[in-house]
Amino acid sequence: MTHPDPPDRLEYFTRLWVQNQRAVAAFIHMSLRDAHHAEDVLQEVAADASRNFGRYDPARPFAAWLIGIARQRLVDHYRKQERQRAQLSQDVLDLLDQSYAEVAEEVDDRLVALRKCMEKLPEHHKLLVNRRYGFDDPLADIAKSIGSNAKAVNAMLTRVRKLLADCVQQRMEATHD
Amino acid sequence: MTKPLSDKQIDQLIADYLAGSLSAADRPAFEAWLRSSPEHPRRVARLSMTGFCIREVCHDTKADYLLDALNQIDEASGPAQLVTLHNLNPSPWQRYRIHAVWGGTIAAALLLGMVLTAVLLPSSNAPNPQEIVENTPNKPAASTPPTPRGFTPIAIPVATLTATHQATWGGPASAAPAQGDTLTSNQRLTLTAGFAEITTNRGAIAILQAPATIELLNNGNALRLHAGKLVGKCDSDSSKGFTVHAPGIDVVDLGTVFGVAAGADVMTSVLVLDGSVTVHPESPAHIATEPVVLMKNHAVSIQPGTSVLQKLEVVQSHRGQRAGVELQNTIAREEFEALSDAVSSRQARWVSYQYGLTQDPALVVSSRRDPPQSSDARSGQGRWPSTSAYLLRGGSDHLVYESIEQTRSMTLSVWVRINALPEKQETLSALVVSDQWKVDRGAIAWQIVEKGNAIKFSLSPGNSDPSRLAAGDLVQDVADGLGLEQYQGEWIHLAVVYNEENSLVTHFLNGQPLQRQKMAFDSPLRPDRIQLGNWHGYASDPRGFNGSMDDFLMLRRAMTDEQMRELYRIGSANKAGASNTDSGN
Repeated sequence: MTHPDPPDRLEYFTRLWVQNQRAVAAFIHMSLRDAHHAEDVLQEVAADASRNFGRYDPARPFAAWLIGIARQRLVDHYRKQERQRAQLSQDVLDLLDQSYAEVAEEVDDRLVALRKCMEKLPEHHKLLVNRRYGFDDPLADIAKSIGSNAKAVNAMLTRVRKLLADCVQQRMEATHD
Repeated sequence: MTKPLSDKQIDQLIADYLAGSLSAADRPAFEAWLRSSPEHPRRVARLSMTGFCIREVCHDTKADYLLDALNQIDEASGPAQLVTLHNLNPSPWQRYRIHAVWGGTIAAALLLGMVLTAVLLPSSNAPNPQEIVENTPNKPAASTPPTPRGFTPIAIPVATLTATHQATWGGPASAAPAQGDTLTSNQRLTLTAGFAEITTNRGAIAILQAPATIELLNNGNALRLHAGKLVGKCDSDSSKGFTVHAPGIDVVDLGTVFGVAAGADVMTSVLVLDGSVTVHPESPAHIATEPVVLMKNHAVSIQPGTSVLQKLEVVQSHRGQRAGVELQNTIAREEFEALSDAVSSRQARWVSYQYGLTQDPALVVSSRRDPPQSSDARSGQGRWPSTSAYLLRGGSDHLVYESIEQTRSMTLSVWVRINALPEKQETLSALVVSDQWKVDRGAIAWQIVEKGNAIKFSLSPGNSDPSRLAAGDLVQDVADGLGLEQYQGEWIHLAVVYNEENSLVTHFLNGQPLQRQKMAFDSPLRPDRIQLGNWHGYASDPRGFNGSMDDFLMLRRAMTDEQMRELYRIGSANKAGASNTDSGN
C-alpha cells in the first residue's frame, strides 16, 4: 500500500490522526500522568507525525506508529524531568511501557465500557467523580462541601476508580469471550 | 524469603505509584511484583487507563457542551475561526479540555488551517434580512433614561442573586455579590468565571455564563446585557415582559425561555428555546423599527447599529464536527439548553446535600441511594431535567423498603407530583404505610385524605387481629386545609416530623410547617418494612397513590423547621424542570 498523493495525503493523515489520536493520548497520559506535560508531548507527537508522515508504512497500524513517536518524545521529556523517571528501574519501566501501549490501543472500547460502568454508579459517586475529574475541584473543596476530609474523599475516589477499573475489565473480557 | 504482598498492599502500591508518591522504601517490593508476572504491568496499565478514561468521560459533560457551543456561537456571530478562545477566561478544567481539543485537532488544524482560513473568509454577499413573523406586540419598557447631571440615582432592590456555580466577579473582592444578596437598580456586575442565576423581583430568571457583564435596570423586570451570554426564563404571569436590552436589540419575553449572546465585537444573537419573544431592533437613528415575534427555535442575529435582523439556522451541534462553512449563520441550540440547565447547579447542590445526608447516621432510607426491596412502579420524569422518579398509577402500584425496627423520633420527606386525587372523601391515598400497619404497635401510616384537603399521620396501637381495631383506636394527627388539588401536576414537597422529646407532630408543605400538634404515644415507633404509594393494594381497601414520587427520605430523628426549610430550598427544582409533562414512558 502506498500513500495517496497530496493534497489527498493531507486528508489521509488528518483522518488517521483523528481516528488514532486518543490512543496515543492515552499512552502519553499513562506514561506521564501530569496532564499539562502530557498535552505538550502530544502536541509534539502531532507535529512530528505530520512532518514525518512520508515515512509511515501504511501496512502497520497507525496507532503503533504514533506510539513509537511518542516513546521518542517521552525519552526527550524524561531527560528534562529526571526525577520523575527515576522512580522505577529501566527494565520495569519497559515492562510498563509495553503494557501501556497494548492497553492504549483499546482506549475506544474501554471508553465505551467505562461510560456504561459509570452509569451504574450511585448518584453520589457520580457526583464525586465528576466534580473531581470533570471540574477538577480540589479534594479539600469537595470534602468541605460534604462535611468530610480530603483524605477520606481521596480514599473514596480510589475505591471508586478501582470499582470502575474492575467493571471495565469485566466488560472487556465479556466482549472478547 | 520475602513475604508475598497482600492484595491490599498491592492496591496501595499501585495507587501510590500512579499518584507519583511511591516511596523509595516501597520501590523494590513494587518492582519485584511487577517483574513476577506479565499480568502485573497490565494491571497497572489498566488502572492507569481507567484514570485517563474517567477524565475523558467526565469532561464529556454539559459544561463541555457549553465550551464547544460557545465556540460555535462565536463562529456564528463573529469572524469565523476554527477554534475561538479569545473571549474565554477558562477555569482549570476548561483549560484541560481546551488542551485536549487542541491535542486532538492540532495536526488537523495545522494541516487544514490554511484551507479553512480561505474557505471561511467572510462572504461578501451579506445575507438578506429575513423577517420571521408575525404581529406587532408590546414595545419593551424603555431603557434606563439618561441620568440628569447632578442627580444620583437611588439604588432600588430589583433582584436577588439566587444561585452561583464556580462564580468569580470582576472588581474588588469586597464588592463581589454573594448568593442570596439583593441586587439593586443600576448595579453593574461582571462575571469573570462560572455561572450565576439572578431572579428579578417579578420572578424572571436570568442565568449568566461568564464572561458576562450586565446592568440591572430600575423597573424590576429588565436588565442590560453589555456582553456575554444569558438565558432568560419567564414562567409566571408577573414576570412576563421581562426585557433584556442587548447591543442593537431589545428582547421582550412573553412567557418563555430564550437565550441572548452579545459582545463588543460580535453580533448579538437571540434564540428562543420555548414559547415566544418579541425582538425590537434598535435603529441607528432611533427611528422606531418594527418588532418581530420569534417563536420556538427561531433565532436571529443583528449587527448593532444596523437594525438589520439576520435569520440564523438553529442547529444541533456535534462535538468534534463543528469546524466548517455550514456553521456560518447558525446557532447551536444545545448551548443555550445547557445554559438553561445551568440552574442544575441547584441539582448538583441537591445531590451534594443528599450525599451529605448519607453521612448522617440517622438516615434510614433514601430512595436515591437505596433500591426498593420490591417495586411495581414505573420510571417517570424526575423533578430535575435528567432524572427519573417513581411513577405510581394508583391501583396496586407500590414500593417496598426495609426501614428500621423501631425509633423514638422520625422524619418522613418526599417530593410528589399528584396526577389524581381520590374522588371520595373517605378514600385514602397512601404516602408511607408500615407493612404491619394496625398489627404492630407503633406501626405508621402517612396518608392523603379528604380528597387532598388533608394529610394524616397515624400510629397504630397494634392488634393481632387488625379487623378488631377501630378507627378511634388509632393515634393520629391530621393537617387539613391543604387544598392539594391546586398542586396537581406540580412537584411539591411533603414532610412530617414526629419528635418524641416533646411529643409533637409537625406537617410540612413545601418547607413550611403547616400544623404542629401534641401526639402522645407511649411506645417507640415501629415502621419496620414500609410501603410507599399503597398498602398491599387491597381491592377492598384501595389506597393507591396516583402520581410520581421522588427523593423519599426517612430519618430516625426529628428534623428542625430550619433544616426542613433548607431541604426544601436546596431540593426545589426550577419550575421549568418541575412542570415537565410526565408520560411515564
